[in-house]
Amino acid sequence: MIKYLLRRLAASIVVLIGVSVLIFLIARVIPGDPARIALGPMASEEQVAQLRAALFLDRPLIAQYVEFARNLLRGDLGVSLYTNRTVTTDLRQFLPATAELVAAASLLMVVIGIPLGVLAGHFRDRWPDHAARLAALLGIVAPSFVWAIILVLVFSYWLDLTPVIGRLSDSIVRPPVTTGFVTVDSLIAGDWAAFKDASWHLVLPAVALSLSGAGQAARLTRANLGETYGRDYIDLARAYGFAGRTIAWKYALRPAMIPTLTILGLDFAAKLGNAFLVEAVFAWPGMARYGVNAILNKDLNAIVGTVLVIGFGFVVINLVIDLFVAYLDPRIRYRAAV
Amino acid sequence: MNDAAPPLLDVDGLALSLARFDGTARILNGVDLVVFPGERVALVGESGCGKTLTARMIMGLFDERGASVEGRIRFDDDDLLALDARGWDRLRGRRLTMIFQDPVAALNPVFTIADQLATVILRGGQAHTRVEARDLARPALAAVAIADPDRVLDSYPFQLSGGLNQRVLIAMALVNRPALVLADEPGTALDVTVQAQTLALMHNLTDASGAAVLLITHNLGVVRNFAQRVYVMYAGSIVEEAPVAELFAAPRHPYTQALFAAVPRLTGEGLPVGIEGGVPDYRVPPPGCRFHPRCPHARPQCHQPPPVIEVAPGHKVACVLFGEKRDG
Amino acid sequence: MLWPRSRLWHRFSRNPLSVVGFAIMSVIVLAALLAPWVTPYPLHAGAVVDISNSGKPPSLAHPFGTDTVGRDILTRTVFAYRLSLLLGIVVLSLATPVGVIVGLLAGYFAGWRETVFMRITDVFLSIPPLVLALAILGFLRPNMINAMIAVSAMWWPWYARLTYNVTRQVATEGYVAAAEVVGASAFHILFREILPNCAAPIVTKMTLDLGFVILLGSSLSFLGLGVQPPTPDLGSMVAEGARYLPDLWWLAVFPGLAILCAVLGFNLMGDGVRDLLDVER
Repeated sequence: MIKYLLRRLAASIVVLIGVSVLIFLIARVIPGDPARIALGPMASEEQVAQLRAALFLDRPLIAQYVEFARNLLRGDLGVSLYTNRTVTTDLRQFLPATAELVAAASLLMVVIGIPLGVLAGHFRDRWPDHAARLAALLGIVAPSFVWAIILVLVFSYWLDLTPVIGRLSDSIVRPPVTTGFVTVDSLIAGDWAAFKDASWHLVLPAVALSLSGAGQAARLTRANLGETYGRDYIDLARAYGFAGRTIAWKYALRPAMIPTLTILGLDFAAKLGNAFLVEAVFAWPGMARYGVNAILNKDLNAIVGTVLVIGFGFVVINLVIDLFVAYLDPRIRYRAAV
Repeated sequence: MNDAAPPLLDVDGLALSLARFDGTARILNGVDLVVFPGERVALVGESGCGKTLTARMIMGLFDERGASVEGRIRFDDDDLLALDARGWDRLRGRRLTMIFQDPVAALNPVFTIADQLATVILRGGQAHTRVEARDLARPALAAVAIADPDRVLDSYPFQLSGGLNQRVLIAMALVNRPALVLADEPGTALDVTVQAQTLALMHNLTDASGAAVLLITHNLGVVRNFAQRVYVMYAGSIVEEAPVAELFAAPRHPYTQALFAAVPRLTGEGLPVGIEGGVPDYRVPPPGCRFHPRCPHARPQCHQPPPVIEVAPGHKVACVLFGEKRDG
Repeated sequence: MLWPRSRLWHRFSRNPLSVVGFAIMSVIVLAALLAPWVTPYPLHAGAVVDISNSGKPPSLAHPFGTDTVGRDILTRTVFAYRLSLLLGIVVLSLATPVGVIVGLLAGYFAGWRETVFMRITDVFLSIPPLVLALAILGFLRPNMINAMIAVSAMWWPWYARLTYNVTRQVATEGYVAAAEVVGASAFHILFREILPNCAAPIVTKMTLDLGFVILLGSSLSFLGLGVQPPTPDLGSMVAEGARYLPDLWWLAVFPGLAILCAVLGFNLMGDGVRDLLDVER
């Protein structure tokens, strides 16, 4: 188990190093001369040369990367040209909102997607299956921003149930920041009004962001359950009269969850970028606006910082899933220890 | 056996057709088979003859769509082909159990033996909590010659050898004292010694508990010391049934004879003789006796459904050869 | 090809949903190709202004309504499909060969090539595609061509992964060993023996992916980083329309549903192709 963990951790670190190299290369190679871009067309050649030296741009690429990585490890991502603050400060401000949204969406994805997949897998080729598959497909084929707009239109404007934008109403005082998640912070502060308000703000963006992942979760669960239902051990469970519910939710679901979760983790992490789209619709004060502004303003350090943070999120999510899979699958827990 | 007692299991004219998009396959072509209480019966035939399917139908595991079923399966007083969920709940795992072919595949890889065995024991009604179930699991495992039940109980199937898994399956099949155990090629996925041990264990344990066994196998060799009566199946039909000694002494049906000729022997002369040809295409089976294209004694009458002739007490053959003899 | 009454069509049409997908896809492709002739107001694809008709809700004359400057949204949606399809085709024809070659080489040659290629692939796969495309666009000028480059740059690794897996499987088969024994060149083995085995899963994935590339392209332009106005594009139409919610709801909703339909069509069609080519998941 420990060995397995260490191996996964090592693989994650390799991926993180790879991500940093990739974004470093993209940032250094594609745009031409970062110093010129930073200083603008009005700067003199001398100024540019000075900045090039200061940024180690006159050194070989490898030396530049080493410098970049060293700063990275110190938590120094440079200064954003757009906000004139360090990128770390900016990220600290915008990341929690995005993290809260993504966490809520992941939760919904599991809570909606997996039961839907179990339903479909259990009633294979009967009407609950067809209905569940259609629902899953609709979640997958519409971009999250389209769902966001439809949800806002229906629930906020037409039914007037949920707030349109932001994380908290103006009338509510934000509880003291502990975790950065407004919902959790208000619970810690015991502020029920704030918690209710924050939850109402969170629900539509989280649903919009979760739908595609939930659809994917349902499809994967159904497919893997179908595979599991063909196994001898399910025949045995039926031959010994185990209750249908026990088979579906215990003896079939657990083996089916192992491949499902592994793929789902990759898939969901790949969809982290969708948070940008949903945030744009709901004016959610997270990474999206910051990242898009950084791109439109050619703010190199901010772009690098944003990508790195999301790559880090990807690695963390997959590591957590690996742990959970190891918990579900004794073959991983025991074999890897040998 | 006490033939006067009503049979425990009575399969009568069981036929099954499957609609495929390229034609209808009549996979079971009228299977007649009885098992009396406490009796050990073998159903022998080559792979693909429908013997496993017969077992799955008895167990109610066959539920493919587009299948049309004829005939009757009676178990005690229940009509298994018309049984509702509550009826199955009363039988499965309690009165009727099954041992699967590949013990490693038949046990769930992500749950401990204790968990799976306890779920079975709880269904038997002798225990009401998992702790009680574990207390019953220990002697059940000891009965199948497992020396350290607690270690096995806390293991996952992949941590145990094939032979140990096989014994766990036997314990599972017998722990609730069923009336009938279906054993589908137990141990064939494992090596020969394990297979022999398995059958010996089952022989002794069912003798002691009085459970009837329907053993399904392709191997005539293992039948002799295990079963009391034998059914030989070919391409979806029973072609011969006989008490075991009678069958081994005087096999009648040409297919049975060919099967015996194909068994490799340590003693005796010559190599085993294979059977010419292959299992027929079930979508367009040969008319009449399905064996006749491969039969050395084939004649025109074989194109008619063969008569079932009782050549000796309890020894029945589905073949025109014996009809002719008696008639003329 | 898929002609009605052919054997392939028979297999394809066993799943009615595949036929629905095929129908949706055909309508979209035909409408996009023939856009100047089949749309009611072909001129509205450009920078036309018809203030007297601005912001009209859906009606018989304008089934999807009109936008803030009076252009017919149905017309602009159909024209926008042209760009979406173009994006899909260009991206896949750039990304697929690169991915397939990387996957073939990594899968067939063990050792450093495998390690290097697959590690690089993994790194690409571990950055969310939209974010990677955004990052690349961040250093380029946001426009259609660059959007295509950006999307292609993040799409090839999926094909590398897929081809690699199939190659690894196939490379151990007898006929590959046989070809090696008779001294066939690596080129011959890679492209004549192994590649044909990868064809079915690759074609299946391409059909499914066409929808998802369209989805990603529309996401980029929704953020204002893809196609620039006045060229009609589904993503930017939704973004533009979102500013006029809820009063002019049709501005965003119809182009949004148009994306949904396209992705749905290619997805259902892809499932049909999967059944047709008998690809395991």
